[in-house]
Amino acid sequence: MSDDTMFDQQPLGPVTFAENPEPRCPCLLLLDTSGSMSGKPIAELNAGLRSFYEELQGDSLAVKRVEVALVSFGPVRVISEFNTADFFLDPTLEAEGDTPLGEAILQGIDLVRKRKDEYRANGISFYRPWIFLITDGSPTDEWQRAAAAVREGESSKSFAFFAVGVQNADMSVLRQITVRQPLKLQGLRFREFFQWLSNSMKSASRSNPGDRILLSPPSGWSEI
Amino acid sequence: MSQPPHHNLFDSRGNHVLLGKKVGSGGEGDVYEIAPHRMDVLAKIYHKPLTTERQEKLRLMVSGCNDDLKEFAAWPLDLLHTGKNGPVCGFVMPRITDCEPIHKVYGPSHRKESFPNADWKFLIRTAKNLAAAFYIIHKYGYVVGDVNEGNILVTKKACVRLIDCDSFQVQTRDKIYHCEVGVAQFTPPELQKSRDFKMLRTQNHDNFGLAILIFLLLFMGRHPFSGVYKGTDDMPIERAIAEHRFAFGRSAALKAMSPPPNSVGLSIVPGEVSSLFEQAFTESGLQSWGRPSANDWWNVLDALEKRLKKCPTESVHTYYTDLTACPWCTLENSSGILLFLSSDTITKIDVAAEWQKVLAIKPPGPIPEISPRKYRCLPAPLTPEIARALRFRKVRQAAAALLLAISAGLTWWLWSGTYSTKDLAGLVPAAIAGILLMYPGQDTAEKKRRKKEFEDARYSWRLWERKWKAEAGDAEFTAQLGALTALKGRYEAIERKYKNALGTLQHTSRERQQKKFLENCFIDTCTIPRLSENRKAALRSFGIETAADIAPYKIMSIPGFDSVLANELMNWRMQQESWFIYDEKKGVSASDVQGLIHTFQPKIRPVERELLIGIEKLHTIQQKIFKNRVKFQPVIEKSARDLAQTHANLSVFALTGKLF
Repeated sequence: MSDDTMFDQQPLGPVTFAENPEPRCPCLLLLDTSGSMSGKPIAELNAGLRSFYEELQGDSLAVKRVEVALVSFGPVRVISEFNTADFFLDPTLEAEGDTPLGEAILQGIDLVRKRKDEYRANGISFYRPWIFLITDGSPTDEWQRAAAAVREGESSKSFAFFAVGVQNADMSVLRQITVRQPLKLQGLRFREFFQWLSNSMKSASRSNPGDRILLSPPSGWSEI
Repeated sequence: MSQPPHHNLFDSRGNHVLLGKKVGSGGEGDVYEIAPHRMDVLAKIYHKPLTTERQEKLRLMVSGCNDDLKEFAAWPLDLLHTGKNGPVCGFVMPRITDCEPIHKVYGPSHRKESFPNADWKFLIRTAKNLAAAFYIIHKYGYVVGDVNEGNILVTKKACVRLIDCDSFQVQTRDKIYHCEVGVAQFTPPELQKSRDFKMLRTQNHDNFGLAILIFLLLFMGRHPFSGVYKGTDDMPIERAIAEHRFAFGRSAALKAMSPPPNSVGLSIVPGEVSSLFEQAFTESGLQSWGRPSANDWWNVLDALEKRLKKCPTESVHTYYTDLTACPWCTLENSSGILLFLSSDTITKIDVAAEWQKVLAIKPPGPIPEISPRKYRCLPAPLTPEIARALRFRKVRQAAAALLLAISAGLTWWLWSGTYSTKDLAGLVPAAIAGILLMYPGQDTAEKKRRKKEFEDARYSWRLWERKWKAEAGDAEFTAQLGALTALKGRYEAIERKYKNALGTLQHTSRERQQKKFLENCFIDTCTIPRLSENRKAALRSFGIETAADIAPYKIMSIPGFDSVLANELMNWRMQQESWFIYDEKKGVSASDVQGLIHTFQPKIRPVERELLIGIEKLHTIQQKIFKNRVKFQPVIEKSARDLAQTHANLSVFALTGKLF
């Protein structure tokens, strides 16, 4: 039997670019897992995340083109580096710690930069990366440097940065971090949010790897 | 299931049309089956009312329909109206089944899943059939316009079908009905600048998209404009297309582009084919009719198809006969990826022979022991003055020791009586001893020097010893051998599982032969009186078409079928079974074995590769260890000797430190 279990293990790692040279549509999720998320919020977030991956896996083009990376913060941890949805690890996030938002953003931007370098080195075209910050609190660390990095990245079109506030999130800080209007999640509608995100990713992965950003209106989950 | 909301639907002859199950959904409309059971056609119904222009366009397409177009495309066959003679709200088209979108053919990862038997010949045939389809569309004056990876489908036999035909551009003598959509990756440079597609599309534009698709098919899903760009700015595909940066072309370097790593390029195709790509993707294509036509492509691909050979080591590899080596073997070996699934074996290696190679690599064995302890050194002689000073010190030390003893005894004797200040007199000899010991002599400097030499030697020995153990020890070798043993175990486990599955195939071959036989006994041929044509149609709509599909629980759930009829059908099935004769010679069919190979090959291949690389590495490690032993031994020995010597030197001064 031990032979069998060993046999069924698939080597972990990205499908090499040669096996799947489709253009990539990178999406980074910065997820707040601070103590205040414990209980229902984190459970809903986990469920939403799972459905997000399932949606992507069910789409034959998106599964080859959309790459997702997960970074959770409180403390900052890279849960998954950029990978196509068929490599989803199904992490169960747990709420703990504080909200080191600034550090999470900086580390996330670094992850995006490294992935783009890999695309370039391997001759893989890519769409402008999306970064989604999802938080329910206010930063417990120095975030001004991160905000500057976000503005810099947006103006050089290195990525598009979106912030989503949950429950008692400090929206005024989010407004200072993003150049786009931050959105407020209605209640705990994580599933609706991820449904919307996967639809947006699916249509983006069918569009053109240029600089246009095609997001459908955030209906069904956000407070206007 | 709720009924679709289209009750008031009529075809162009005024017949009422009933829709069945919804089978697809898109941005513009939904696709339905047409009830009752016209399996060969589907209906597309738009979400929104169509403009007069769109209605006219569909009418023109229907009237322009012919057998050629029907063969390649889901062409509008008839119009559908809301109400008798009402506005056009949809159309009837041929149903296309058993197809996959073309991106699943050219992308290696999906191809291996959806088209496990496809080799390069299959890909060329697909490309050729694609050219044929474009040829037909163009022949009748249409333009595809929106060429993309999703609206071209491919069958298991490499036949190509075009869908979403209602977006094609239709042209009459005095009017153009535009194709208003497009996907940038397939859009020619001259159209890249525009933000919408409301312009005249030409066949030359289509031919760009066609060339891109053919390139994707022939070169393992690599997009011709997706390469390694030397600049520091971003180079999205649209920009690369607009700037003619064909990454695989002759002038790629001039455009700061080079092909991606782990890719094959134009060198694997004959000159006629590569020059068509050059023509399609460079500035020359901009002129009207500048790009190769569908016909041009068909001709060169047809010629290439006739000039293929099979790789002698891997029969699934086919390649252009003028090449000296198999490009797929080269790429698979250098990159470690599996481009094509083999049809005859799951592995390329003989693991037992490979293991012999491992056993032939002589283990370096434990590291030769080098230790300062092994060296017996005589202390370096002292100069007469220092020797004298040292002797004097020894005398002083002896005297001091004696005085200390007296002092201790005296103090003990005095303190055991009554206490007074005179009692401190017992400490006087100790004070004198202190002076004797601290008295500086000529030997102090020498001792200091020798101590420093010793400490330096010890420090340097520790560094060397660490290096020696790390680079000449056999720990790395042992670890690598352990990893290889584990890999061999994994390899053998997969092989064993594959062989078990093969064995099971053989055991169940009778059942499977019988199932195949029953799958050829169509219910249409069944002559049970109560089984009317209508009932047969009902069975079909529930997916029961042959004797193999018949099971009582399935039949009872169909409205209008009772247990008597179910029994009659079961009897019919058993009657068919009685006519089945097992053919032992047939045993296991080649396609069944191939299916197994295709399941197991992708699993064993990474292990196989790791094993081969690992064996190489074990050999390298062994060589390195032997080399390091020869290289470092004299240095290490010298360091050990130095330490032993400095230690001996210092020992003259009695108080020596730890050796290590």
